Amino acid sequence: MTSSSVPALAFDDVHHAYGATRALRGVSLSILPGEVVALLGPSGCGKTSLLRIAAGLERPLAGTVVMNGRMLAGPGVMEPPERRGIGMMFQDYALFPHLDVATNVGFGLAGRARGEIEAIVADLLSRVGLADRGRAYPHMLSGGEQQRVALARALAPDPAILLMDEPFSNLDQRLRRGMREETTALLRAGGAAAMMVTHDPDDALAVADRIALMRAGRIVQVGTPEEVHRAPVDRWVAAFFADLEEVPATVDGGRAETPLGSFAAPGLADGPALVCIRRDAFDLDAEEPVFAARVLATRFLGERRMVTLAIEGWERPVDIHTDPRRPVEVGARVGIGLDRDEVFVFGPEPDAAA
Amino acid sequence: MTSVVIADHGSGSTATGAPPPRVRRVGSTFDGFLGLGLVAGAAALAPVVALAVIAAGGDGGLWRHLFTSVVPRATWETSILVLGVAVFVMVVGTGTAWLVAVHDFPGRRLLEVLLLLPLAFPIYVLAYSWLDLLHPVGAFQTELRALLGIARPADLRLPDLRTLPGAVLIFGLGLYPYVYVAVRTVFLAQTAALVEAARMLGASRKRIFFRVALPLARPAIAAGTALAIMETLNDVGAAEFLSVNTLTAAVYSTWVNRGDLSGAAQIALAMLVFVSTLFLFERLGRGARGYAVVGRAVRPMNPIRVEGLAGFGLFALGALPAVLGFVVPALHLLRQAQERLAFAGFADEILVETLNTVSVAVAATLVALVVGLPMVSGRRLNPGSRLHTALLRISTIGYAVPGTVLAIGLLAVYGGVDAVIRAARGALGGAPSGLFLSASFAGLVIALTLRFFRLSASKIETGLERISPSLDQSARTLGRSPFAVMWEIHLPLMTPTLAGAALLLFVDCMKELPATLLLRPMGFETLSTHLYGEAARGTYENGALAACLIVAFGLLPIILMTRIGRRATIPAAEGAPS
Repeated sequence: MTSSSVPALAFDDVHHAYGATRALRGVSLSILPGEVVALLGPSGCGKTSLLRIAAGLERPLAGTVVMNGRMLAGPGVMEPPERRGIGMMFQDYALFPHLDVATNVGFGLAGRARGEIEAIVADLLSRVGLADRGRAYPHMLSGGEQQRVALARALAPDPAILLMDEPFSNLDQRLRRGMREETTALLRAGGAAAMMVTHDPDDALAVADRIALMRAGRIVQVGTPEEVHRAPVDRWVAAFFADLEEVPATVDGGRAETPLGSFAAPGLADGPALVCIRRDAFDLDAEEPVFAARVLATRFLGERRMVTLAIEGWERPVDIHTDPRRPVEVGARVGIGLDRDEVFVFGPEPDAAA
Repeated sequence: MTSVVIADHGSGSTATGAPPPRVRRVGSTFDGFLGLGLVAGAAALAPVVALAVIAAGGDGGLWRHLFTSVVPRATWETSILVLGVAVFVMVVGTGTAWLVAVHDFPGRRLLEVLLLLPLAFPIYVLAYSWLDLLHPVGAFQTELRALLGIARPADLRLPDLRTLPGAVLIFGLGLYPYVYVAVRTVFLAQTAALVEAARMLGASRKRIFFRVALPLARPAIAAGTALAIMETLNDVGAAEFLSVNTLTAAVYSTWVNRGDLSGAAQIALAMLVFVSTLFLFERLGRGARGYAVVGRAVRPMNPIRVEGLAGFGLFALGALPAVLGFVVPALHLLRQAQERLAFAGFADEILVETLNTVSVAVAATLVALVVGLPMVSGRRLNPGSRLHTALLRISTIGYAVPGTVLAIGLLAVYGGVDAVIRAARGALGGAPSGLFLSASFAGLVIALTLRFFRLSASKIETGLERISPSLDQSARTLGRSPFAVMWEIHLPLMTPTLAGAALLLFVDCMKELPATLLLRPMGFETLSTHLYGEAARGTYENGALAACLIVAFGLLPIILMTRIGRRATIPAAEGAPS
């Protein structure tokens, strides 16, 4: 095994609970050096608990946390956060209000030579575009600037791994896009591994090398953004990224039969199943339409147009998105194509509600 | 870029649905914070334990005497006094709060501040001042006789202040502001919308008061009244001046006049039972009514404008308790002090006593803050640690223990510690003699710290709550130990809080009488013990001057409070058991 394949951070069968509430039910996950992993899931799924356990802010009930081969938490071991050498960026940024920006960024460098601290701080501030704000206090900064100071501060001690708790949730949409790019660039430049907690699939898709989807204290799927998006393991994962049209089906001989047609269902046992169709799968301009439909309503949404359709053979109206410049008339009869890559067939779920 | 999936999805070793193991959080291990907490907790518990021990060692016959003659009578008089004071402060405190919160009349702003001023008077100073003023040869009666043309004091018989009703009046005048402040806060901030809604529904002012405002203010009334009762039980000087045999006075005189420590401890224990019962009732009474009025929109009530003669009438009515509780006694003290200064000049003893008072109060304030910050910070930095929380709670019990009771317990503790030190010195070949904590400056400072530690802890707690916990966590991940977090994050961010707490602690320590009286070093006089001495002897030489100084110091936190504005809370209210 080469040194580069030793995980920067590895969780093994980590359990956690708050009183009677189980937060983590056996989570195992490895983050490789230089890799950015997003923990994605709804609130309460345990992703923040995992982050806080990595930081040393919580002690896991069971399981181990190992960083670069060094045990941080495990049976009889509990390294306090200050001795872990892990950087953390907090959701509210947690900038020290009584210290100026430069002192905030240099806070984790205590014990080093003054000149060295100044050099590191100056370098980081210029990299986040705040070279001239070193003497400002946190309350004088905008939200985006505070986010950058928090990032610079967490990176200043050159941690092997950076933890980010909902790093973009306090920013408005426009700023958010820019900050995702800046953050990714900064992480890549520094080469630090990172684990980011988010509930927003767009954050995860934009920043992460791999996404770990969490639900009810468990990781349900790990993979590259493409993998989890293209090949969701279950209905829940599929629905997390985009709205689904769910059609009950019956599997018979490897094919799922539905009112909307028949779909390949390799490997599924005969019996009830669910066909999930992403809205994007429907195509108004397909060369080979497979359904006939009638336009019920249409709404212009700027970058796209939403069209509500009544598909023949299917009782519920379906909202699909289309090119905003494409003229659509209410009442018109149209032919709909279907992109089969955006259709997933799942067997019956024992704990679909979880 | 690798995309190898190393994860092992959700294959837990624990079966789903199994009860989770016990939660352990970070840092419930032993640290300096815990060490300090153990010392503080032990120090706070020691006097209570000592009370029980020495009470048990008392003479059985004396015990019977105490509990057949002294205690029943003292309990009776204490109960009547407490009941009377409670009714007085509830009626006057709530009434004045309603007056200034709901009405607007000329002089309302002035009245709002005036009504706070009796807080500057410790009860023993208020009693001292009124007794001096109303003395048969005092200023008031002399003037009255001159006015009525009566020559001999014996020919003009006025009701004596030195009775239970007189004591209720004096205590009530000094203590109603506790209720006034708590209730006014509720009226001002929290009930505006409800009162307006009631008005829209056509309710009269009287109906609004009894059906809406009063029920909403009930928790605040209970809290303020509890504080007033605590102060009543704590008092040792005023009851004695006013010839009321309270339990506190019985504890004090059993020790000071009879030299019977175990007897004093027995009464003190009885008193602890009395206090605990009161708190239990107060808590039960409040617990049953869990009004969550707090947190509503803070919008001042639209006051009802009252002009002309009616407005002046309201002002006069509201001003009455403030005039009797502050203006008259303060003016009297000022005049007496001025006469004394003109006659004898500024006595050196007053200067020495002021220095003594300030040095004791400053020392106790510093200890309370220096111990308080690490204990409160330590608990916060060890979230989920029941031990840190328990130690903090235990170390604040001194606030609920009347000063005399605490002092009797500490007398025993100090005596024990001194005996141990003497024995150790003897064993090491030194002279097995001397006092170390008994009647020492340090012993007095410890007593005052224990007495007022709750004030320090609760102020620091309030201040810390305003600091986001993520700041702590952030500093931890940036390499700071819990102690460094306290030092580099909490302390600088808490400077204003600590300054405010220091002022309140200083003034409380400075005004303190019973513990100071019992534990001070030989010949060590503070302003309060000086005043007590002169009042007890019936001499009034420099008493007025000492009283003026005490009241002047006592005005400091009130000035601070009014500067904070209309949403002010009373200093002691935040230290109150809740």
